Amino acid sequence: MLALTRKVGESIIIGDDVEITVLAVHGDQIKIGIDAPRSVAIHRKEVYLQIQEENQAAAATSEAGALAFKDFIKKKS
Amino acid sequence: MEIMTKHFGNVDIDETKVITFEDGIFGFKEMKDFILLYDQGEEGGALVWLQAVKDPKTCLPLINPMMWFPDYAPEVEDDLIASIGQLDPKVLDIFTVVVIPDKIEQMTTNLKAPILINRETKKGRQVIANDETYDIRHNLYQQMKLMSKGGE
Repeated sequence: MLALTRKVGESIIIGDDVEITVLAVHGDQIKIGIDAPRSVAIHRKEVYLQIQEENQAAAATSEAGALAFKDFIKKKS
Repeated sequence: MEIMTKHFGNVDIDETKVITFEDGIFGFKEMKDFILLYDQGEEGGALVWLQAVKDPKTCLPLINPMMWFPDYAPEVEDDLIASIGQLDPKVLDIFTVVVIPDKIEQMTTNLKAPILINRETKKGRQVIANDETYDIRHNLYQQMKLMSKGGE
């Protein structure tokens, strides 16, 4: 991994159109500003990973789970 | 074209109905082509299955969130979904992914990351909503109970 040292107010540029700026540092918290085209998806990594996990859990639905769902819906309607 | 599916055995699918996710979906980035399979053979069943064309194991249950969450209105950057075509509600379907564990009382749906499908371009994308209010694991069982009670 490339490591760069930056001061508050300084930036790095990734490619031609993504700019990341260190806005503030308070102890172990760093506030980061990201300037990127709106077509670039930006996510907190923990959210991104959780969504991956949810999709994988969804794909692991068993036949029993699918049947239980059907039964539940039948009772509802 | 006949494909192997996870829940329906071999299914003869209409190739013109294949939906392309150019970026895959989260956790399955390598899968691009999917087909929607309906539980009761046709549209109208509560569950819809997003089945990968090339891998029987990759099959995710989805719901139409509007059926159970009438106020659902996730905020998504227009530019993020520009790649699937026009944002015309007439051709845009929205789904959310459902996790169905063996204890159905614990089933959840991911309101934070809806799947959008443009029926006209046959392209889809899973996006992450900007809203902080939508949960990745929203209890769907409770909501379904609540909604059907309200409808009686």
